[in-house]
Amino acid sequence: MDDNRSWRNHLIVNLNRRGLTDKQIGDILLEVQSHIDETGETPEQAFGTPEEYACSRSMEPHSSRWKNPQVLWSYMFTLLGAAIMIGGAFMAGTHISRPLTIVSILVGFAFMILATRIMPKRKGPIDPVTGTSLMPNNNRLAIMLGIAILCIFGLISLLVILIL
Amino acid sequence: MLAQSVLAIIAAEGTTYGYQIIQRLDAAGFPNVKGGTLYPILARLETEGWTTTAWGEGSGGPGRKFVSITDAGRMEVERFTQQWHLFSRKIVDLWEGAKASSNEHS
Repeated sequence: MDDNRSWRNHLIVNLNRRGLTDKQIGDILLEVQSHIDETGETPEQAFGTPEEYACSRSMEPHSSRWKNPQVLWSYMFTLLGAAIMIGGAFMAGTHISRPLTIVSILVGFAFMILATRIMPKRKGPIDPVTGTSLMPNNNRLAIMLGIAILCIFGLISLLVILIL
Repeated sequence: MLAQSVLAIIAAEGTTYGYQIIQRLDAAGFPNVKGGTLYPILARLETEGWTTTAWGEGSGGPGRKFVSITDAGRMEVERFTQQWHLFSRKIVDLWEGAKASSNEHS
């Protein structure tokens, strides 16, 4: 059962990476589950590796998330914000112009907040039959943890500047 | 070839589902077709407008995805069946001609 869950999680990651929508991913996941329930096979026996299966499903025409300008802008702002914030943190280490350092960390933080505001809201893959979320709990946890780490990093950098 | 066979099975059944299609393929001489091969084909058939799908009750568990033939799908089955008959007649004619020619020379 753990192997099945691991296979499924890898499939979600791979389908996501290829820009399939939540609806498409939910549909594919349910197809897989329904099929292995009937045949008694493991997902790997029936569908191959998650990478291979995601590749074969991504060849179908689909409306990619990457074509959404909001998604692209959000990722650009995140990268820009992270770069400015990291640059500010490095400047703190070299004692270059404290106000400039503080401003760059705050500006970087602001860009990242802006990025989260413009990113289209996603519920993750949805079961097409019941409407419940198929998003694995550990994926949600990983995303929240990632955001928390970035926020803590920003705050620590700011505190270091203010204290030094 | 496999995609056309899958479409023909769906046309014959009217409405069917993945595991049943695999069983029909096995009986028709296409053994060991896996879900990883079948479901991308089913997705393509739906994209082409030759089939439609709907989720319904299964025999237990998360439900079953039923696939049905459309009018365009029936026309497509008709089209490639005629093409296949034409193709196989030409191959047979060619083969018969080659056999006759080799008998003359021997």
